Amino acid sequence: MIETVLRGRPLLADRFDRIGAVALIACLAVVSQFMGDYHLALLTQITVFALSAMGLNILLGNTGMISIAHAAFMGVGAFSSAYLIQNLGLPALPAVLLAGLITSVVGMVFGLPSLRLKGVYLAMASFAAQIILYWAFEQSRWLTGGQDGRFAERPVMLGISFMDSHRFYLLALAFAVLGAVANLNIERSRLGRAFNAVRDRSQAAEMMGVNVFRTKMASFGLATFYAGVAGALFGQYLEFVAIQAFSLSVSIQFLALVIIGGLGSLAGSVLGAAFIVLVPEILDTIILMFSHNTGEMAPIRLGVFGLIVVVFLLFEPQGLARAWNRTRQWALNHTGKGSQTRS
Amino acid sequence: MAAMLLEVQQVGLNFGGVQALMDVSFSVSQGELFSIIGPNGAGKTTLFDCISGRYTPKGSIRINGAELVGQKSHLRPKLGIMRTFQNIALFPNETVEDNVLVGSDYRLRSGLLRSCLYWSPLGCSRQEGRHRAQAREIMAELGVEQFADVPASELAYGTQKRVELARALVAQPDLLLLDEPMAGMTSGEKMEIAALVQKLNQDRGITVVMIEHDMGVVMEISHRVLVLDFGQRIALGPPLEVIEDPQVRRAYLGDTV
Repeated sequence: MIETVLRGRPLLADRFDRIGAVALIACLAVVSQFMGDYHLALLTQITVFALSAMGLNILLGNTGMISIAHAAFMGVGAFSSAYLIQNLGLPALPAVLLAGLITSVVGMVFGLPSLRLKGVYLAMASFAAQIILYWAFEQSRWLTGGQDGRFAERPVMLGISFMDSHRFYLLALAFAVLGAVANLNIERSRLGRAFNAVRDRSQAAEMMGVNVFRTKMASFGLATFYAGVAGALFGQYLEFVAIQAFSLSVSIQFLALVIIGGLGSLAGSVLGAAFIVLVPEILDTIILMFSHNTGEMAPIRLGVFGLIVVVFLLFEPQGLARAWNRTRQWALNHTGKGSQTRS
Repeated sequence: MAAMLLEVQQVGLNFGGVQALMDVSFSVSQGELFSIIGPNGAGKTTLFDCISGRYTPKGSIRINGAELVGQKSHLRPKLGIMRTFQNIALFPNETVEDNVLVGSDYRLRSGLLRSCLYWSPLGCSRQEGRHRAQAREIMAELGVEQFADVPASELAYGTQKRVELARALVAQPDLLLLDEPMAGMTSGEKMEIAALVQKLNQDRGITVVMIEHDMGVVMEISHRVLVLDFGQRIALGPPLEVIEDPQVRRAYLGDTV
């Protein structure tokens, strides 16, 4: 007993999760290699979005601070990585990581109001961050190419070229897995507990020795690091970075993503990313059955999507993660491998 | 006389014209079990909030000679001060173990990088494990170990109070501030907590300052008692002396005694 305690908390709760996670990663790595372009594009987008969402989930789910500027931070990462590679000639791997760090610094600066502001007020402050950053993108033609956008190229990392879409997917998957492991490691150590303590009762946390200011800054720094790296990968995948990809509506989409996924849950961020990418695609397919003019039907699609989100949240307010947990519990009970976990 | 651990000098606090505390002075010596009593609204919890840094009062509050007024709240545990709360301030969504481990926060050195590299020699796994074992020990001592993986909000009131106490103890405080540790408990539970507080005070040498309404317990276990009324100190001394004080009888005990 005491020995298991001394090892600290396990990365994943039980064998089901451990085997499941490894199986999922292996399955994605193999299956992706046989996918056609369309499905691979969706899968890559889900993976990159999931990486970005992990960051927002740390901020909103774990630390309880809202941000409607997440897409803008992805933009900072995407543009700075492209600049570092093309204008400064940095190799792709250090460039992506450095882009993450730059985003992190920008994120912490815009996170400063969180020291005084909470809830709706903090949401307004982050809304301002989104507007300011978007305006800065428009003005900084040297960095962003203005309305024309700028090219980004598929990277070469550690001597391996990721020009090919199938290979690039493996790169995105590797980043997402590393991001997930880092996320779980943080969750089970001091900083993770501090995040949650600040979310639940920041004043009590402070009296119990948690430096609330530093904890909030760490959360912003970490969340925007994820956004920056994900943004850089997103640009490289599309081979083009356009300002419009980082607009307010995309930020709100990310917010919806982590809420639908389930706040505070890593699995939720992944499931939410799948939801936000796949549901509109499925809707498109359905709409195409009835009409040949998708452009005309676009507003309907958006409306139906919104409706699905609302109905979903009414019936499953704790998100996809909760629904998944229930399924998992059911599976455990029916395979006889009794193992108790909390929701 | 033992050395003074806590020295409160002429502490005053205003809330928009309302004098919450007026020139309150007292000191608590090392190893003492000290109680604060007074009617509702007398300023007892406000005084705790001044000591733990929620409010910045006029005057001076020192621990081991170090000035506390103006110091950041989160430095309290490092200076040896931990507290519990009148209305329980656990982190409701977190497990009991995680709640207790927050008390270790100030002693843990791991930042972002060491957390991410959990298993590596640079990582924080060993440190985490050590503190986790320590937390388990204290949880066992307080009889809450079996709830280690249960979210705090799902526990009974009395159990939550114990978890709060465990969170405070894990920080190894010199001075423990207990804000109504027995409120809302059955008399059996009260006896248990009283015995526990006495044990912490005697065996571990923790200095305790306790706000409590149960006069029986206060009389029985306190070394000295401070009485507050309308933000002012009206009496200070051994329990039997204080209870005989005419001003105390009038202000606090009223007609009930």
